[in-house]
Amino acid sequence: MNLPPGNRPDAASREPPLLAEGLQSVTEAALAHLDLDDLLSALLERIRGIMSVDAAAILLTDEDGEALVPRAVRGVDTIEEALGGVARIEFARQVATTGGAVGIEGLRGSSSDGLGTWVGEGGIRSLCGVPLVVEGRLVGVLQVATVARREFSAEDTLVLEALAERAAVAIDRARLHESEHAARSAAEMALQLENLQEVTESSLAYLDIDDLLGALLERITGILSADTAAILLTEEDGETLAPRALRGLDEELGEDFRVPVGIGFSGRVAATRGAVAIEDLDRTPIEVTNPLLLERRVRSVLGVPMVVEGRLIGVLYVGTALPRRFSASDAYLLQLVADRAALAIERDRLGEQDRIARTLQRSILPTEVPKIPGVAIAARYLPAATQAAVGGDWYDVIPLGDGKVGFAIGDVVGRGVQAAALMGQLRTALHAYAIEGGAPADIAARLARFTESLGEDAMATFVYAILDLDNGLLEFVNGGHPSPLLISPDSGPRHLDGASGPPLGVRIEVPFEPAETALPPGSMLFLYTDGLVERRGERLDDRDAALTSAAAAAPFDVDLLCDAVSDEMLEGAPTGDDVALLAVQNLGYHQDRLELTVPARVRELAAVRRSLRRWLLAAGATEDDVSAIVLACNEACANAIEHAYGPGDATFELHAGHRDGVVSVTVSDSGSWRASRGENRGRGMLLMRAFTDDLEIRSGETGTTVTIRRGLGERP
Amino acid sequence: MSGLAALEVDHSGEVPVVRVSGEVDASNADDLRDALLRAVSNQHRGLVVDLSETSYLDSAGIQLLFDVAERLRVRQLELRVVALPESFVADVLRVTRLEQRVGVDSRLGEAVNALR
Repeated sequence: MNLPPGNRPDAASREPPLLAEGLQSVTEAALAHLDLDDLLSALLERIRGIMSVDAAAILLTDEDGEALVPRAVRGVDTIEEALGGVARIEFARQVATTGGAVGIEGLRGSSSDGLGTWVGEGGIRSLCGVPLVVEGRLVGVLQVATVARREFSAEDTLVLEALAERAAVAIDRARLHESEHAARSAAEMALQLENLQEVTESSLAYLDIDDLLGALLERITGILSADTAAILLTEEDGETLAPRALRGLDEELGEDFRVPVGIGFSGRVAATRGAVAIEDLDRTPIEVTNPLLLERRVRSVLGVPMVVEGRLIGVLYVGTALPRRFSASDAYLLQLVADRAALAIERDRLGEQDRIARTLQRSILPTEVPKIPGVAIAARYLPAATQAAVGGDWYDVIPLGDGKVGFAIGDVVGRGVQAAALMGQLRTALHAYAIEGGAPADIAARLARFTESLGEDAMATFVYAILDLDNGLLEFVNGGHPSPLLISPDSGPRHLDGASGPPLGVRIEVPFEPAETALPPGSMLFLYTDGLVERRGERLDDRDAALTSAAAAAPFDVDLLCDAVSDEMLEGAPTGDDVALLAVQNLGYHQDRLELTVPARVRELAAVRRSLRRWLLAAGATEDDVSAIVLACNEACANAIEHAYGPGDATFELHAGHRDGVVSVTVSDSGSWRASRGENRGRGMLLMRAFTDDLEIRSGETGTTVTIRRGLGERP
Repeated sequence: MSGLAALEVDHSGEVPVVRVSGEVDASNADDLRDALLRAVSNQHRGLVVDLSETSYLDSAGIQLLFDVAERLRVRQLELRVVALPESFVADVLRVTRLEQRVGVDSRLGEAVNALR
């Protein structure tokens, strides 16, 4: 496969995350190794991993720039094997001549590739090569090979080319270093090496960004015997440079000055993206704008660009008070410091954006959901573990009066600070429209118009539902969002489909079609964002099925449901995308009654205790009353669960009410009562009697009913 | 153990101490029993179960304490339980008369000293 240069997708504009990580690791290798051989082995090792290939080789041009010579190989046992396979010179020549990626697959027995019969010795079947080019100059060829037959895709060659670009620059630099070494005396070499170690020392990585930049400037002024050093960063407009770190004479300037890109010394470094040296500022044609340079306190300067991922982020320069001619190795060393500083600044910037997005996100989402009698509500916001993937998911709970409550969940398209900010606007707008009143479809239509008014880029999906606690009816709209789950004690979880509508910000005239369903007492509504179910490399259907079974196994309690589902689906924390969860349970009481249908399984005991505790506290029971009634009911429920034979779909009912200061709770099942068996059952009865005023057990053909009563308030 | 309760096993002293925090009911009592029995060996004189941080304990939990006490007794080891006086758990222990078979202390130090 041989892609014509013009048709290649632009690598920078569509770097997938894996590529970005791969490039990062190659850049790190380039910065960490100064010796050419060390560098080549580090590069090949990483490239082999990133490309998932069996062998990789680098051939370099010789001194005349004519012949290609194999210089480093990884993944083969013998020289013969290398020369016959991954490091094949004829193939490298073809790559060099083509000037772009060349791939061949299925080498066995083939001689039609124009390379003669060179099959089998290395056991490889497929080979792909890309030229290593620096500033239009060929420095070598990078080749990768697989034992299995593999067709190198457009994406593969794209990645390989991007890696080659980084590798070429590093190799060129290391070769320069190598040739300089050869020419220098042993003493000088030792000193230079020491200097290099000083700026590449890995312990610097543990410093915070300001300390790191300061330390780098300090060391480079020391090594180069300079009197001043500065890092200027390009500002957001891309047209001016502003100081970021200053050492020596430059410190006196303060941090207020700005330098335009394009003119002046620093501006020229920025514009040419190459090292610029001025031996004597009194005799230079370059127009000088930097105040320090203007004052003529500095006579010689050397500046290098700071580049990250092909983007210019700033300029690093050093200056001396006395005239001085900077050498190529000075420039090389300074560039090394600039690369190191640029990488650190970029990492810090990404981290900063991530922090802002997280803070914004947290400040907008309600920290506590409102307490509403009759419903139990739990919400979670789980930020993604990956940096800069945060922002844009929201939930909201809106008390509407008249026994109605609104529930919203939404997900803004995009990530980072902008997504978090847009999320804040949409959440506020929805909240405001909701309290004004109106059916979900009306609110959705207004919210859609609002989103369109924000501009072209605003897009989001959402669900808005209104629960009427008087009749347990739920009306909802869905704008392109994953379907909520309804989890019923009788029939388990199901997706709530039926409502339809476009995502917010999609300018098409499609009305929102609402849907209605019953949310009977005990049942739960579960709203979530797509980060819960979408995972790279897994089918959405499988993830949906996993969610349904996680929800089916979870206890009937909103907090326990959120915890169980996030544990099961995300193993604790989401990786690729953030996740919002909102769980709502109709507790079956609007005024004085609690009515629950509960699956007959022991893990529901904790869920029942939580529901009952909430209801009792709302009914005005003291902490002692609550503990006593909860314990007695728990024993009754444990009996009911034990009575349920056979498959696990049996349920029992719990009804609670209070009148004239007396709470009564009835637990009824369809099993038959069994008399105390052994001490343990006796203890359950003992506890029920001890903690209540009255205990009544009725057992008949249809089942068993246990009723307990307890008067509220102080006891003697 | 389910998420309802958490265990902290302290082997730093002469006597192993298991601190149970959270809720104990029929859903996790079996797991807790196994964990308690694993925490003690025949080289020890006994085991202390600290319920100071236990917010809920029902008849299944009581049953497991009786069980563990019985199994340790066969091995000539003693079980002691710590419950804060006036606490809900202490009420449950009293009603079910656990102290007739198992030593109940209101402080951890007392329980540990009793087994030295």
